[in-house]
Formats: sequence, C-alpha cells, structure tokens
Amino acid sequence: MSNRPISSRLLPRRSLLGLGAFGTLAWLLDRAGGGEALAAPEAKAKSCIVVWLNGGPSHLDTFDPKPASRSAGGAKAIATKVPGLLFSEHLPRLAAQAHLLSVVHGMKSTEGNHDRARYLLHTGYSPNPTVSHPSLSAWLSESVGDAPTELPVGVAINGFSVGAGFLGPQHAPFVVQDPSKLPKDVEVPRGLGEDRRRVRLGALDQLEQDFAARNGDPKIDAHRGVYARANRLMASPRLGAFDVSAEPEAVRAAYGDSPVGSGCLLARRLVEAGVRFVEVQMDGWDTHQDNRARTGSLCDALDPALATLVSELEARKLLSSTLVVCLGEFGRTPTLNAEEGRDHHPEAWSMVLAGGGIRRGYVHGETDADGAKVTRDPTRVADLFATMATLLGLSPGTTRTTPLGRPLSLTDNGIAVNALLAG
Amino acid sequence: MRSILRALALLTLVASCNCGSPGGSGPASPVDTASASAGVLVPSLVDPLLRDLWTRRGVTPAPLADDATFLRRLYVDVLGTVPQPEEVRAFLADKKPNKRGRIVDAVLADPRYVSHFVDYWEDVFLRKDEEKRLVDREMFRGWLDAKLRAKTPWDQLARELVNATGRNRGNGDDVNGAVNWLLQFQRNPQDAGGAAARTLLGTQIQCAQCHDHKTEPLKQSDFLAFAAGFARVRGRPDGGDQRRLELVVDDVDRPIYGGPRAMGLKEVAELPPKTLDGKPLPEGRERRTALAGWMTSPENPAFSRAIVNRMWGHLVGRGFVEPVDDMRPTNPTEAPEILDALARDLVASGFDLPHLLRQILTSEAYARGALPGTPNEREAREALWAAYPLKPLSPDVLFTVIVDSSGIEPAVRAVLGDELPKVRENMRRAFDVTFSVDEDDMGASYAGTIAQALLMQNGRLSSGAALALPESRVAKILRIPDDGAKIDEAYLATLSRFPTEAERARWVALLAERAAERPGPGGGRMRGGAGTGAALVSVAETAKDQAIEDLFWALLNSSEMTFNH
Repeated sequence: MSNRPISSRLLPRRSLLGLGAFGTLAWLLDRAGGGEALAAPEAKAKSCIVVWLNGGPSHLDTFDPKPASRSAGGAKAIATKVPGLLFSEHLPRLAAQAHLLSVVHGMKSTEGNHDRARYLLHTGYSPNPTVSHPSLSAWLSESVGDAPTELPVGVAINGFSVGAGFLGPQHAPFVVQDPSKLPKDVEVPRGLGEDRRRVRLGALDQLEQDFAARNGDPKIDAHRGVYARANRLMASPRLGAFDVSAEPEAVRAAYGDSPVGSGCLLARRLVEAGVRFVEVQMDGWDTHQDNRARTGSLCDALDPALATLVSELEARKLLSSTLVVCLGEFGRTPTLNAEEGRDHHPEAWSMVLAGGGIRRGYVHGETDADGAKVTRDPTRVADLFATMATLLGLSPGTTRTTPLGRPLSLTDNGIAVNALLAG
Repeated sequence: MRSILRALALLTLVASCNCGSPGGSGPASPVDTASASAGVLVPSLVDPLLRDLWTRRGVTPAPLADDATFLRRLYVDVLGTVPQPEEVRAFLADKKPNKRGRIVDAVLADPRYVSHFVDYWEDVFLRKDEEKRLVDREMFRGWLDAKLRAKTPWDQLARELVNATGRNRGNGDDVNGAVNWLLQFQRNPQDAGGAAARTLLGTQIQCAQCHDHKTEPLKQSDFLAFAAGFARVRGRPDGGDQRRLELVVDDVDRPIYGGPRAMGLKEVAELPPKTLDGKPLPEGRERRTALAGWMTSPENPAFSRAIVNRMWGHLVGRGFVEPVDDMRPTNPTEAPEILDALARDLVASGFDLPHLLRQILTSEAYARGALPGTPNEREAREALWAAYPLKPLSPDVLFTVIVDSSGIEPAVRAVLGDELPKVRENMRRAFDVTFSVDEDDMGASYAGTIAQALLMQNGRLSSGAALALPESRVAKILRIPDDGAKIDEAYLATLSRFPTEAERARWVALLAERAAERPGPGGGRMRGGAGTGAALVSVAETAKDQAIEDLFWALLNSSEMTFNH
C-alpha cells in the first residue's frame, strides 16, 4: 500500500515560500527509477512526537553548554545522568532523564534563514521552486492510507506547521490551535439538538444525491467522503483524547501551565489514542536580544514539559514505541551581539531524541570548545530524516512522483545514523 | 450584414442545442432550451475551432448549461460571488436576444470584477498562504486595484511589475505598491527570475536554477543569464519603524554581491544579462527595463500565450497546457490552434484583458453543461472542454458566497459595529488558511480536509449564515407565506436556481412534517466578536422555522454550493 504511486494530477498547492535553492537535486541522477525497490524497514516506532522549538534554540544555552568558554556568556551548566554530558542549569528535570535520551551535538546544515530552515527541518529538503516537498508527517500519513481510527493520522499543536506538499492536503496535519481547548469547530453549535443535527445531515445527504445524479462527477463523492470523516471525528468516543482537562491536576501541573506543557500532555494523550504523528510547537527561541534571560525562561517551560512527556511515556510502557524528537531550525552563534543576543548558526547545533528504537543515554557528535564547529560525527539533516523514517517503518529511499513527473525520494540521499539506534 | 451574422449565430446555437436541460429548471424557466439559443450575438472566435476539434476527435459535447447554471458560473468566476435571487429571476425572465452576451458585458463592467481579480492576482503573484516579511500586501492590492480599474493593458501592467521602482508603503511621492512583488524575493535575483518566467511567461525555468534542464534545451547558464536581469535591484530600508519598515526599490550600475548568506546573488552578480532566447541585454542599471520590454513584447509569443492559457484554465477549468504555468516543448499543448488564435487576438486588441475574458466567456467551452458518464468518457470530454468540470470555490469566493447568499452582514454589523471589519478579516483568514488549494494543481481529483468540513459545518460564519438573524435571508424566507415559495427562495439564494418539482415537493413535505414537532431547545446563536460578548440570536420560533434554517444549512454545505459547475 505504501508503494502506491501518486498521480501527478492529484494535487495540492505548491507552497513554495517563493525561495530558491541550490545543489539539492543530486538525487535526480541517483534515484531516478531506482528508489522504489527498497523494502520498508520494520517499524520500531508506532508514533512520533516532535517538539519544535521555533526560532532556532541556542545549543549553548540548552543541550551543549560550554561553561568554561567565553561563549557561555555567563550561563551555567549542570551535570546529567549521562557522564560527561552537561545541560543548561535551566533543564534540571531533563538532566535527570538524560539516561533515556540520545543527544546529537553535531547537527550541521547550511540554511540560516528561518523560513528555509523550518522547511528543511520539516521536509528534509531545502526549499526548491519546482516542487513542494511533503513533511515527514505527510509521508507517514500517505503510507498509512485510510486512517485506522476516527482520529487524524497527523496533528499539529499550537498552530500550523509545514504541510503535505504535493502529497495533497488530505495528508496535512489536523491543527489544534490551543491545546487547552477542544479543536476548533469540532462540536456542533451550542443549542442545536440531536434532532436538528439529524435533520441537517439528512437534508445534506439528499442534496448530495440530487447533485450526483444530475452531474455525476466523482468529486461529489470525494466531498461526501470528507464530510463523513469529519462527522466520524465529531462523533468519536476518542474525541475525548483532545481534552487535557480530563487529566488529574497533578499530571497537568507536572507538564507545566504553558502552551508547550499542555501541548506535550495532549501529544501523549493523542498517541495513546492512536494518532501517529504529533508536532508540538513552542515559539520564542529567536533570541537576537537578551539571550541569557530569554533562553532561561524558555527552558523553564520546556524542561517540565519534555521531561514529563518522556518519563510518562516510559512509565506507561509507551516510550519504546514512541519516537520523541526535540529540535528547532538551527543553533545560535557562540559570540554575543551588541544586544546580548545570539544570531543564527546553522554550522553546529544540537537536538534530542528518545524512545521508538533510539539508543538510551548516548551523545552523538561533538563541537569545539566554543560550540562553533562540529569536530566529530557531523549529522546532516538528510541523515536525521533517514533515521526517523527508518524507525517509523518508512524506507528513506521511497519515491513518489512529483507534479512535474519526476521521482522524489523521502530523504535527500539520507542514510540512517546507526549509532543512534538501540542495539 | 450584422443581422445576417446574428441570424446565423442563432441558428447555429439552436442546432447545437437539442438538449433536454439536465434538471434544475423550475416553473419560471421551462424554456431553458430556447433561452440558451438567445445567447451570444457574435460567437466567440474559438467556437468554429472548438467544433472542428470535437468533430476531429469524435467527442460528443455535453448539452449547453441552462441559463441559471450559466449565470451562477459567470458570477462565481468573474465577480467572485453568486447572483442574488432577483438577479436570477430577471435573467431567466429576460427574453430579449443575446442575453448571455449582454450579461457577460455587464459582469465585466461590474466593480466586483475588479475586486475579485485583485484577490486572484494577489494569490498568483504573492501566494496568499505564505508569510512574506518585507511585503506590504495591502499596498500591492491597492496597486492591482488601480491598474485593473483603469483597464491597464496586460503588457503594460506586467512591465510595470517587472520594472517597478519606488517605495513599498508610506506616503512619499515615490510610493509604488508594485515593488512589493520584488521585495518577496529578498534580494535573490534567481528567485525573481524564476517567478517572472513562471507567472508571466508560463515557463518553469527554475529547474535550470540548479542544473541543466533534463528534458528541455535550457541550460543552467541560460537561466542564470536571465536571472542576471534582476541582479542590480536593491531594496533598501528608508524610514518607517522597526515593525513596518519602508523599503525603496531601485537599480544600480555596479555589481551587488550581498553578504555571506545572500542566496543566489553572487552567482549572477557579474554575469552579462540575456533574454531567455539568448539576446544580450544592456549591462547597466537599465537592464531590468530592457528585460521587461523583451518579456512583454507583442513579438514574444510566450507572453501572450501564457496569459491566454492561464485565463482559459481559470475560467474553463483546464488549460491548453497543464499545469498552466508549465509551458515547454515536451509538455503537450492541447489544441494549439485555439491557444494561438486567442493569443493573436489578444495582441491585436492591445492586450485588453476584458476582451480576452469576453472571448472565453462567450465561447461554447464556457457554455457547456455536464453529462454523466464513465470516468473515461468524462475525462475525454473535459480534456477537450466539451463538458464543464466541477471546480472547488477558492477560499475568498467561498467566504463571499456564504456572506452574500445568507445576507447576514447587516445583522452582524448592527451588533458588532466597528468590530465588524476585524471579525470579518479573522473569519476570512480562517477560510484562507483552511481552504488554501491551488486550482492549477487540483486537476481531475478533489482532496479535502477534515478541518474544512468542520469549518463549514460548525464554524462561526457558516453556522451563523444558516440562522434567521434579524433581516437575514433566512429571516426573510420565514415571512414568505407559501411553503413552496419558501423553498424556491432558499434555492435561488444558495444554488441560484429554482428547485425541480421533485425537490420542491420533498422539502415542502419536510416542512409539513416538522410543523407537527415541538421546536428544538433555545434559539440558535451566532457568537459575536472577540470581547464584545454579543450574540446574534435567531428569530426562528417554530420547529418549521428551524427546519428552514436546517435546510439552508444543508444547502450551504452541499457540493452544488461549494463547487463552481
């Protein structure tokens, strides 16, 4: 089923960001005609939760602090459960969970512009005006085919993320703007009783039949199918998974009363209910001014959210089947600018993975004394995507045909990082 | 001479219109067959070519759409809304000759034509669903509005866009909203060149941005030389505040290299600029003017063909070449003789856009109805424009259609007052975000999302639109004494046609059935604006009143409503 070709006419909007790119089309030579032959790997992870730190988190103030260096800018670090690994002093709970994590210190890319880097870190490709690349969430949705439950395959929390590109809007994530409330418009307007809802749906069904009989276009059936899915979601007993207020007060408090806290809690509930890919966005990491204070308070919100997510998944025996990933679009400069801020730094940065077949208590790669350059085991974005795809049971070489009739593979020549995989 | 032509035209249309109209004809329009024949005075220049095409390819065209369907189609495509019930009645009752030709002229002269095409072109040039930091969309829209209102010839409009200089916002004499198009490329001449070629020449040369084109003769060096035409443009901050910078776009004589992260600039900074067909352009700051002149010249067939293909695809549902902006030797052109005839005609008209639209809107391709059949039969007809396809309404149009057909705006304004524009903009934005679909890419399939179906069923606008708010459409329908007439009005307001006898009888029976029921709990409410705490309450009192609301809700959500057809 996952090898079903996508018709070049079945198409979504090409949201191109209006930007161009270089050197990312080498796969055309290598992959043309060949990529589909690879067998899909066995899925270690059933679901994936991405905690997205929007704006580009400072690696020096989170997962790769350099307290002895001038680049620290006065920030302090603490030891973690993993010998030799330091975290920011504002991440004490994560430090206590570090034995469950893999931390990548040698992320390296070339995109230093927010829009472009966000696109790269969601699709695995730099933006290119000739094709709108699907997000990893969309690739997974497309491979799943019909949703196994009434819930969507992919959910984006705290706002829209990067969409499904040419795979089509039906594979774009379902957006939850505010995790502390039920999703928008998922309930019938107040005061409309069951009886009237039934009259409405009956009348709509009749109108659809009238038009189908007269016009006969299969798009009418497709339209009815979308309504049927929406109505199954509205009526689903699993809809309660979206309601974080059903959690005990102590649990909600542990995640923290913040968008990222509620978002991570909702992510855990959705994964338990069968959602396959959840992205939780956390904004504010573009710390061009006043870096130290701002990253401090951002970490204060991130720390309980992510640490509680990982420890709860572990306690509920879900961590081994749930891939948790925390990252942003790039790192930040070792030198502080005139406003005590740090600027964009794609040359060397950090991210965190856990669960779903990821090795525990491991640090991959290394940066120099200032955190300016990768000195050991650099990790390309394409390789990160190959790693995540592999754990989710998707072959990194899987191809689909773009609207311009060319094959596009899931990753840009990515190769899974074996060292990150649990033995 | 003129009258002979007209008689011939009428004869031809009568002959080609032996159709039983496919449903939708109510009592007021039992003569759709005859009224279709009262169509165009002077047939579009493409009609003989189309008929020849259908004969050669052995395709039987669908019958002509009936008058009500034609009117709705035309309103949606040209005015971005649906006709009001009285407009439908008047059009159906019009027995004077040439009524389709006259209505085409009327909509092209309607101010809503300009506002709808401002929406259309903003999306083409700036992609509505994308955040663009430096771009002032309102200023760009204002520029488009002025150009379309002044009936600026297409070549001149395109030239002024490609060659724009001046200030993107603010009050100076040098303010020029058109520069916002260039500002979206953030100093990357390759992106500017790629977009200019794609939107104005219908050519996707960006493949050659990274490597020689695989299947076309275009080399990477050709692309870079073309992009070099944009290599001397600057956009420099000049006033405004941090959040709303004013930027001035102009050209310089010396090469610009940008900083270490400037994308796409240094590769072309020193290249001699050339046209896509390899003619050298002046190397100084005047290069962009020269490039704009070459692109938009009547001698450049790609320019006229591109706009013809785009407009044909937009209006008739499928371009001569698909996607409409991917015209290249290896992408086949259907019926190139029709494309070329329209392109020559456009050049001869002095690039008069309404003239081109009129040629398309009065053509038989635009007048065709639908004909049920197997998927293969349908595809064969739609591929040659012998049947009219279903086209999902764009987000802007869907929004406007719901507002206009429900007539709730006065009621909402009465409660919200000054809040209305803000609330309206928020609702519109929700439609833009949720329904953003590229019509160029939709092709033969339809792919919707759960979020769209939720917004249409339960969203504040669409659920409010079905309520009998004071003086809204539904409230007025409730005051109509006769049940059959109630149903007629609901159909006219939403689907722009009378119900068939069977449809009317069915809903009249529903009303009778509901009349015996007790009304549902409470009156329906539409939530007010943020912070106002105000709610708009339905005036529906009986279960029968509520059944009208429920039917209206179903009509708003139906495929016949949300697709153009």
